[in-house]
Amino acid sequence: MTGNRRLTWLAILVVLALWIYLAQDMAAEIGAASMKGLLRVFAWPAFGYLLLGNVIGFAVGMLPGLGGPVTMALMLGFAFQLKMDAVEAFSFLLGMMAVTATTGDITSVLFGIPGEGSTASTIVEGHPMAKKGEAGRALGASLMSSLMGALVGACAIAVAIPIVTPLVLSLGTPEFFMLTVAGVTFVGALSGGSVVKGLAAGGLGFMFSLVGLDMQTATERYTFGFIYLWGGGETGGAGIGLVPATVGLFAIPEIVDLATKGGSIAQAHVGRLGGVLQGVKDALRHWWLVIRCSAMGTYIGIIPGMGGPVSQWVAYAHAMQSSGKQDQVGTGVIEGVVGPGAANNSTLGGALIPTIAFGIPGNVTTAILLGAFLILGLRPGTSMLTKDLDVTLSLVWVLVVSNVITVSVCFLFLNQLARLTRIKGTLLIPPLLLFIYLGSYTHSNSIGDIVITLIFGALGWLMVTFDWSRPALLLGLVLGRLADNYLWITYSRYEFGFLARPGVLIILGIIIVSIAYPLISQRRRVRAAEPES
Amino acid sequence: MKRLSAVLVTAIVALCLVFASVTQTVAEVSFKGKTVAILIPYSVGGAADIMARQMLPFMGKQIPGDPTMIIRNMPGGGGIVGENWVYNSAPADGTIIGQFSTSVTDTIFKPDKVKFELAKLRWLGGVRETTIAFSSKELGIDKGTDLAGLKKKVFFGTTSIQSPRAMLPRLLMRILDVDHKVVTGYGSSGDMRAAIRRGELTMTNDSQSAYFTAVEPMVKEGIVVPIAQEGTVQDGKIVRDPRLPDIPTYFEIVLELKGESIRKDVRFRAMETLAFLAGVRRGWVYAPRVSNATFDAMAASFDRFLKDPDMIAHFEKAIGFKLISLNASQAQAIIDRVVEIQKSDPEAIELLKALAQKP
Amino acid sequence: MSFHGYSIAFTGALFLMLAWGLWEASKWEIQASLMAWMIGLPTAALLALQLARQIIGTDETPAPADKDEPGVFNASLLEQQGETLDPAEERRRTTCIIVWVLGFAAAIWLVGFQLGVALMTFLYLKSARESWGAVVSITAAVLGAVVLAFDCGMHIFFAEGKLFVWTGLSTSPLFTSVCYNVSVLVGAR
Repeated sequence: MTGNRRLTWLAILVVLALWIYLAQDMAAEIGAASMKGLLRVFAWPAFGYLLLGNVIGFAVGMLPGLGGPVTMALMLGFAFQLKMDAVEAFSFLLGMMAVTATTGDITSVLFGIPGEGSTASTIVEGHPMAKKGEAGRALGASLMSSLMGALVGACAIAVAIPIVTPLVLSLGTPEFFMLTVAGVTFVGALSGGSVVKGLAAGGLGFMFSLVGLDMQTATERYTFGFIYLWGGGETGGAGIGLVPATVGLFAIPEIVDLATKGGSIAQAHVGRLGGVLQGVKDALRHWWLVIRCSAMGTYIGIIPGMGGPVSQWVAYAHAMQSSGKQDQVGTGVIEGVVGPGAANNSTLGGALIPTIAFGIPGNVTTAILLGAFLILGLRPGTSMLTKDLDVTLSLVWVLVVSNVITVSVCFLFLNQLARLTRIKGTLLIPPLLLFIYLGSYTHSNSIGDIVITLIFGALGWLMVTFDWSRPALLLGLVLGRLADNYLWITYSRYEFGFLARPGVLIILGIIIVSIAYPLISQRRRVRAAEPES
Repeated sequence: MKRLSAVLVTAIVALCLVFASVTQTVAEVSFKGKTVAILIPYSVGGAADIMARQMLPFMGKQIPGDPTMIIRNMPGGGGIVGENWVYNSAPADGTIIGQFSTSVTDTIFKPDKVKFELAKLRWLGGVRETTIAFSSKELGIDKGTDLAGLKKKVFFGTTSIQSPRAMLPRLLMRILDVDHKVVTGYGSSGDMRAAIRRGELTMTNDSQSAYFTAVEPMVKEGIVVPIAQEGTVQDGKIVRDPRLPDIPTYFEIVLELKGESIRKDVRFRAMETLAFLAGVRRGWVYAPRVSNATFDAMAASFDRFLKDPDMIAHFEKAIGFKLISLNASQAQAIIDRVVEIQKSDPEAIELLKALAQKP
Repeated sequence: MSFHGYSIAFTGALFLMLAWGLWEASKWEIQASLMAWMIGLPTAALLALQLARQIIGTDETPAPADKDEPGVFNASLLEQQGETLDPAEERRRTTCIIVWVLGFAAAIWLVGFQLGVALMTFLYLKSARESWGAVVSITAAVLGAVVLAFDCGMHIFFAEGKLFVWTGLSTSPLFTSVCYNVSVLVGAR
């Protein structure tokens, strides 16, 4: 273990030295522009809009019905109507977006219903804690790690400025394809008892993702003649929406469970909420895990098409794997709350990097932000890294300030929030069902969304009952469509030559280790246990 | 309690009826107190959606009665769900206006799913935009005509095999016998620009708004060169878009290299068809059952809206180029021409359908 | 059938679904079906292995009595508090809530989102024998949230309920005028 730690420190030092070498010319400039950017954010009315954005984001994150990207697009028109200038507009829009992943975690922990598509993973360990009466501790840990994650993501933008070209352009589509496979194996291999069932669930998720109109030949795959299942977007896309499926898989079984067990969500006695402080301490104690997961989240944010829905699960898998508590999945392992809490917040920072530097949005959220940039007269590209550097760095400050404010406010209300788990279930169920259906319905404003939620709700309930891994299935669904497209881009561009690319080989090695390691360690544990019995 | 709520509901309904009848006493068409929705057949946050949200504040004030203007999104089937709904199910009182981008090409590429007749849609107006193909410096060419005799293989990127936008450059490369491979599956044109920077792709094409905001900087950096533009339809002819006077159209390139005789080639005719299909890049439409009086009033409103200097100034600032719009009759004329071509040149249409299935 | 039997049936159903998916994929061109083969075949092998293990009985899936996993509360903790649930009662409650979940969806489909959700909230709370105060206030909150925040505020496109479509009635003028009058009231217009 100590050798391991020494090695990581060495790696950090090498990276730091490399960065200083590359950034030496720009360091002073970045420092000066950063101060200027900070002043712009605190200027009036920009700061007022930031607070307004925080308030809206707070609610949007908490409400399972509303996703950050959808609300942001709706708020875009509002920003135009008020004739905001560039800094005011993104203080408002980004201020809103920055906090949704933070407050979304709260809903996930308290109700077992994802507040955002990118906070589903917090349910797996966080909600069992709430049921045990430890809601305060879980919330404290997730909020603290969210704040730390957001800070890392924001810093990543500033750090990336001098090295943005190699950072964004070093990996190509073949490596993206391998990363999708790696993501599903990480999560599949983790699923508690049975690796076989975990990987099979991931494979089924991949198969579900194929529903829709295929991009290569325009074949209708598993659509049963329904246009709804073609998927949205101007050029087609996944037929099964992420939000309807996520809400179905995780929220419907929770509703059934709540009604069946009767009483309130917290089934054990909810003690004093001193647990909050305990949770904060947990996050700080695992600071190194938080940094690792934040770094993963940031990098996944850079990769086109991926984002919070992917990074949360990869971070979850990593957190559980490195905690050595793989056999306690779903029992309220604190590392499993801290890791994804940090990663889904740092992802936004990562996704902003290619958006700012090249005008290439990493996900839906940044695509909408990019639209706003253009309308407000900001041209992403080299000028954002030179002439308009202070504007870019004010983006960083918006992320930092918003999360500091929101997390502080959350801590004030944590007592009241955790008390929600003691409300009688029957009173909670109708509003929860409203938000479940509303959330899935806003995916494409179609009754089809609700049908998908019901189908995945039934599947999710059966999977819970028979102990199959829902995270693996969900991640397969998220990554499958990307993997399909990446595979064909890779094959039609490089044919089988892609297998010789160094990046591909490295990721392949990581995949093999991630499957073999749990098997070996499991065997070792069994062997170690044998003499006793 | 039940009785009380029933009374309440009845009261509300009655109030609304009174309200509605008051507003209807005005003789001419007026949308006072009503909500007019622009129906976008795509999700929130896409290019079409963002454009509509910017235009909305300028639109309402030109419509009689100054109605509340809202956007409604009905995504699905790559636009078909919303297009079918506007044509078949939207209320006939003119409170739903479709903003369509692919309704024209959908009638060719997805005929069995389309539940509307192109010829019967009533066009209120539209905007013109062209598309521009550009290639990476790696290919070693400086302009479109250099494509003839190119030794390197071209890797051409597009989102999906059905993308109508990508068909013009594909046909161009077929006519010029350029060795090329169509790489499909990219999520957005942003992804393709990244792929060009990495050297994964060597050619792709993009919309005019993306060209001005994202591709032109790459041209200045020396990473890519513009190859050809689709052009726009003016007085029944395809000409260079006035906003891009220096980039030749696909047709100019082919005619220069292959001579006038190429005009009879089915591939050339298919290219021309495509340019006409895209004549109204984004258009606003009414379903056929909307009354003539309502249509006339709304068409006049759109004419005023599209000439509004404030709106034009806002757009020039936002997208970096001049907005060129079509009024109702201009848009209708282009659509009439498309309908005519669809009937008169089935061979070209068949070729396009084949392109939508195989690279 | 025992829990073990149901568990085998579920694995079997997953396997059959996948087999159908692969059979369907065999009709497509290779570009469309490659991913289905690449992922589907290994998955089918894994599912077959799992099925075999369950049938032979070498599977380590915990029985419901001693399992401890996401979504299902640790039974032992419940027992510590001296609360145990009669299996028949548990089954009745489960069936009941499933009907309600489906009922909400059906109501949304039949009478539209705004009215459907309000109606079902009212009925659910009433059937749960909640006090009138709770019933009225929660129903009003639900209806108010949907109409004011999501319809009027965010213009989410709620489709007309099928019952209204069939009978030729329409609720949308009602909600439109509610929104208009609200916007006049709050001074947005």
